[in-house]
Amino acid sequence: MTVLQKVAWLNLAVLAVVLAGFLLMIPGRGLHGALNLLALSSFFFAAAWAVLALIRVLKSAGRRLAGGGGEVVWDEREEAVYYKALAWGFAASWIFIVLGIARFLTRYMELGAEGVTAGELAHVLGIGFLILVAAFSLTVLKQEATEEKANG
Amino acid sequence: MADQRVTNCIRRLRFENGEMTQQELADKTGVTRQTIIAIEAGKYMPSLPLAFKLARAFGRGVEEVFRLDERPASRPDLPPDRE
Repeated sequence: MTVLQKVAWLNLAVLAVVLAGFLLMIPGRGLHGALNLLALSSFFFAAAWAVLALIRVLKSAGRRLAGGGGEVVWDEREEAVYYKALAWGFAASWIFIVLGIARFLTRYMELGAEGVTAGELAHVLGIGFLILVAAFSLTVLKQEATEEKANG
Repeated sequence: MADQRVTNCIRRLRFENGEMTQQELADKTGVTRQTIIAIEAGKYMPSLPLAFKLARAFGRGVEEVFRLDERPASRPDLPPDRE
């Protein structure tokens, strides 16, 4: 399993936990309260991602400084898969965010400034991030699976 | 318009070089085994520097390892010599 596949499965596992938590909270807190927690969890998710990336960079830098070669885990193909998956992730999240903002605009035209709240903007951004992570992870797994299938 | 496809004979060359494993070739060229698998299967096109490294791992030139197949887009099912 490549490093990107591991990251993708980890992302999907965390997403599954977040979505399960969201669905469980709807009866107790209502849809709006559950959406607040969903948006909040996406910010923690983003922070955890950044910390993990930083740890990885520091570890590989330490290995290079120590002069050890070690096992190759990242190369040009991984990079190509990464950028393709990132493009799909951003495309999916941007579509969602643009649609969300278009909805805000129509509500603003109908109801005025009171029709759009800051909380709803946070929901769109938070869910947009979760869509980015989901689309990224699924694209990585699809690309790797295609290549493994070709190899038999 | 011609349909261009780059093919390679890495699998054959590995076996001709003492049944070199994919992992050994990956270690020699500084990539992952998955990358060698993808290149052999024609699912990934290596960069020019990697193509040179792969050729050098077998002591060959790039054109002995990689070949550009050109065939008309209208008859992709036919091998080049039948067109």
